[in-house]
Amino acid sequence: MTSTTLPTAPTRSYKLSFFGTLRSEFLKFRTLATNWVMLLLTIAIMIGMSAAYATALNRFYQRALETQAALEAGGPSPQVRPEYSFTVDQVLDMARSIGGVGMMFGSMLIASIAVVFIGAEYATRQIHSTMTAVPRRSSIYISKLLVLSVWSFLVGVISAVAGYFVAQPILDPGISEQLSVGTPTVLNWLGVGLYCLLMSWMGLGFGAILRNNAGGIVMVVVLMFISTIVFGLLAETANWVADFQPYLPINLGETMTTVGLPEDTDINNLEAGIWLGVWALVPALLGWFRFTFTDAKG
Amino acid sequence: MLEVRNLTKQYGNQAAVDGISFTVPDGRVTGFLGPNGAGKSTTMRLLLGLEKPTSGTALIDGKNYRSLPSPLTSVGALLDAKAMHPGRSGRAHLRSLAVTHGLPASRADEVIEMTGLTNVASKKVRGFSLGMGQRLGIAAALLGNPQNVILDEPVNGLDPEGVIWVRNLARHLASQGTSVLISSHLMSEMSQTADDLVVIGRGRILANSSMQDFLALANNDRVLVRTDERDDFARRLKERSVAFDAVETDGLLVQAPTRDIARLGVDAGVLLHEIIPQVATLEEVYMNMTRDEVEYQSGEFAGQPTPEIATGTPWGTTADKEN
Repeated sequence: MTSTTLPTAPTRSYKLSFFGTLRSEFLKFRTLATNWVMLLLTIAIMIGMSAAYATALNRFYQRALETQAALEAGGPSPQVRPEYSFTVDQVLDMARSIGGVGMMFGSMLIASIAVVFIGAEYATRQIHSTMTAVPRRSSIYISKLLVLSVWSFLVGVISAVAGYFVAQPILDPGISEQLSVGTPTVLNWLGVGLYCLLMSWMGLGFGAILRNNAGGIVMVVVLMFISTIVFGLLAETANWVADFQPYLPINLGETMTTVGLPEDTDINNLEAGIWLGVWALVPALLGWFRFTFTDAKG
Repeated sequence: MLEVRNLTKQYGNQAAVDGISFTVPDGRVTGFLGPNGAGKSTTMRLLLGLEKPTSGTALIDGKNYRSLPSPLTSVGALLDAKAMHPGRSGRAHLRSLAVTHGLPASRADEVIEMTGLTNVASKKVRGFSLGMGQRLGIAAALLGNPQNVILDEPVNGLDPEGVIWVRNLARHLASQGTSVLISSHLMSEMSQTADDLVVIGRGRILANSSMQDFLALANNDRVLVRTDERDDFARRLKERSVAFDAVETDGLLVQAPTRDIARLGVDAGVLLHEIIPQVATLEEVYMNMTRDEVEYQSGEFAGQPTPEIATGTPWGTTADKEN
């Protein structure tokens, strides 16, 4: 600070732009080491889950073969608890969607990152710098949303693809030889990406509403897991509770990424995706409202 | 130019800022003074559009902050030190701001050099001291080479060299036609930096004038007189019913014009070896003005000596010690 002379002013006229804001948010996202660590962790968890699930599928496959053989021989089917009893076709469909089995856990990390991407701005008062440079708050919010959307979609798809291929050598040759990368598998990968994308919206929304890292993450967990448990416990008490259960976000996520849903299913993959989109859009919109129209105090 | 008109901001029932108006003209440094909780930072946040005023307006070059086409080149602001993510490097922080306006990355490096942060710019902000954070905040404020500069407590935590740098920077910016609004609790620093003063207390304007006019508010027609025959001279003053107080061992604070005192000395045949008109410091005027306005008043220490008027001479302090 010894020099008191200032270099000559930038002569060109500079203007605030949406593209600039988007670049700024991307720069802010990629210059935090935490985000890279979380990225690796997310991919590692999702690949690990796919690999672990492959061994479970091998057992299901063996049982399915035994059941099939017994039925063909006209004998009674072996005693297996019904939730572990699948047909060969069902096991094959599950194997087609093996890339996405870690989605529920991986997407929690993604949602956390999304919460922190906005919550930490308030916690560190970075938000003052951000909003001083860009007073058009919708631009900031939409930029954050776009950066997170692209990133979480890619992380979801990459993890699913990687998980799928890592699981192949672990799977029983009987299964893997019947698999090929076709439309159902690719749709499953895209579904996982979309699920991660929607979770990032939810995270960003709750982060913006609560302006608090822990609070935002807790809200996502409550909505995704706690609500599912509570509805599960109460399912017997009223019909509407049971009717509503398939529309809980985590169940919608399952439905959306399931390969080989029966034709006459209540909610098909696309419908599940749309309903899940509503679940994610509501917090994202409320967050946008709070972010844009209320004072920037942490 | 910054213009604040009838600005009011209420939090619940309490008005943090209550109908204040003032202008920060181009080419001048305006000091913004007030006790803690007086509403300085709130006013600055309102100017920057971070909060919405309950009523009134805060305008930047005649425009609302949020409708500025190019905020960074219109206003550079330092609101609080370390208003930045600790996990990012100083350079990344500045670039993230620069890129919003399409400013080149080299501009970030320029302000890093100006603020003397070249050696630490690639380190994470987490490890920065308060002073380094303050410098980075100033760097961010200068990024767009703005027409208006708002600095909230910029010298907080700076080393003496940094304090002088900020003073010179403010003067330099004003000489280039920039309007500068600067708040500080360092009165001596402010008296050397500011052209104009805005003083607020409990959300209201207490004074809004040039530095000179502000200092003239003080009742400063007192004169310090030193003489070896103090009692004699005191009697003479009493005869003419001139008010005075005894200070130290040989001094009198006399409430009369200098010339009259000197004349009286000659007439009485008393040798006056010091006749010094007392000039109030910014601090004194400020303390008098805000005494009743402070939100958080400090308790008095037991046995606290009543502060004596500084004489401005080295002998004064020596005499003090002898007491």
